Amino acid sequence: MAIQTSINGKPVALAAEPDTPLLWVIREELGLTGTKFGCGIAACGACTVHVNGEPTRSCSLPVSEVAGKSITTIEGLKSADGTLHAVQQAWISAQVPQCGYCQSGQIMAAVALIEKTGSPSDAQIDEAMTNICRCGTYPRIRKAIHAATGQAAKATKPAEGGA
Amino acid sequence: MADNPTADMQAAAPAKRKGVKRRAFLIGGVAVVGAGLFGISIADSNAAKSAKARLESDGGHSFATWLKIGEDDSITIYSPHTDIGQGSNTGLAQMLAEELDAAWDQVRVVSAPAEPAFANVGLGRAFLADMTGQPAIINGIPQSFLSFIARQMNLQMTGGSTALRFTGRVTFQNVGAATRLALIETAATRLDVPADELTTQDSHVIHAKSGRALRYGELAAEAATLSLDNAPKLKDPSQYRIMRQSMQRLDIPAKVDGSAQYGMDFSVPDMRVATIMAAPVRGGKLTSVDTAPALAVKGVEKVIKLDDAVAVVAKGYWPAISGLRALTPQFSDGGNGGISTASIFKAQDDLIAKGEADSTAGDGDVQAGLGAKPIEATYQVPFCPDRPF
Repeated sequence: MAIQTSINGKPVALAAEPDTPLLWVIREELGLTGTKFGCGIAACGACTVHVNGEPTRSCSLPVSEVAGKSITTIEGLKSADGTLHAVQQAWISAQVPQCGYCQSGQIMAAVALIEKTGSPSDAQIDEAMTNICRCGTYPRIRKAIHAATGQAAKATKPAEGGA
Repeated sequence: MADNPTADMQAAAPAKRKGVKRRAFLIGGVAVVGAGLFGISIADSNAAKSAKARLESDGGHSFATWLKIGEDDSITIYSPHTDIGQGSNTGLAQMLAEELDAAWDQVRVVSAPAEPAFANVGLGRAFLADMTGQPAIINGIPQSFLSFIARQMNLQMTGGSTALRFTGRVTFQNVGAATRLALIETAATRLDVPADELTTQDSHVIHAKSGRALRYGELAAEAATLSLDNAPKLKDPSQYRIMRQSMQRLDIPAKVDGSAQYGMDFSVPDMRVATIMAAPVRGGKLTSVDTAPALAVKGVEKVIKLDDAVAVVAKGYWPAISGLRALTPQFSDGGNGGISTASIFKAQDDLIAKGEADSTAGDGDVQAGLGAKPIEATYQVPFCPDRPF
């Protein structure tokens, strides 16, 4: 009765009880602890992962619902050669995290937003970035999202020169 | 004198609250057991030897407990403080690396193991001096005794802005400076030149005259066998390259790729997870609980009845919390069910009226501060452990 799914590009067969929230399967069965447990009621966003590219709060999604789907966690953002995703690099440049506990979820939400919108406006950031940060890093998160999208735009137009 | 921590402590000494001073006096009274000036907490001791053995077991060479230099020039600093994003570990690393003249891009900080060998002696000394406002008394306590106390207390704590002020200034800067001198001494012997012809920069000892330089990594093994200077001369701030700079925080890369370890991420083989529900009223006891509903949850292994709580042990968090939620434990209120903020304030007022309360403030010079016009105000803070915000 294993649940077949794919995590960070690798197919896996999950042994968990079908009603177990995806978060606990990711953390305890797969040992990927970068995805965090915050509120347990899909309110804070610390547990955000991508399910078929959609930002999803894994603490409240039974694992049975991800059968046949593709899941990406914070550990899966790096490219195969270990290079950080542009959003992760922007997070370092802007020195976003304080305690860091919510930042895996923040980054997953930001990556999904950028994939959807290209270069999100402040209003789009406000609407999409509903993750809670108890340290109050919101201004730096906004700055990093803008920086990440600027960087991506430059990368496609090398003639304009580097940063 | 900016580098003399004792001078800072003397400056910070006045304006102690009464309550604090009384406690401090008791500690001071017990603690004065010897005389003689003592140096900085980098003395040799059994604890330091134990720390050294532990740090060197996985390669590299240990200096004064808190620093390890690898033969590959890696610099590992062991912080006895918790840094959950304040940046204090980066600051501590800057202080040690500055005096060491380390190459900053080779520096990393890890948490010191929670064991007696890493008891924070320097912090204990500085804390006592700050609390009593009497550094002279503390300076009279032999280092071995302070070290003994710190280990007895398993002293590793974080709070009161003590990491940089105390551990940084009293210990880490001195460890960096003393280690630098040991590296120079080793290089002087190896190059057969006078030590005063040598300079240091970016983890190298340099002999400019002959154009030769040695890496810290190739000097470390031998330098680690030397006994360190207990009172090395620290740099003048005008020479700083690493301190007084806003460095990128060393903890951030691990916080953007999910590799940072938080308490909940800790794991051991075959680990079980327990969830617990305590009596909702302090002093209450567990009176009854039917354990069957929890045990019926797949993955739950055990329900443990405690005096004032019930716990569910399971293979993972989800069955553990599901099992706990399935329970309907009954608790007594320990006679405290009627306590409210109002009743606590009333109990405080009653004690003050009877003269049985501790006073931690005096009147000061009311006339000078406020003039003749009377001002009356009452400020009360509700019971609130650790004052969150």
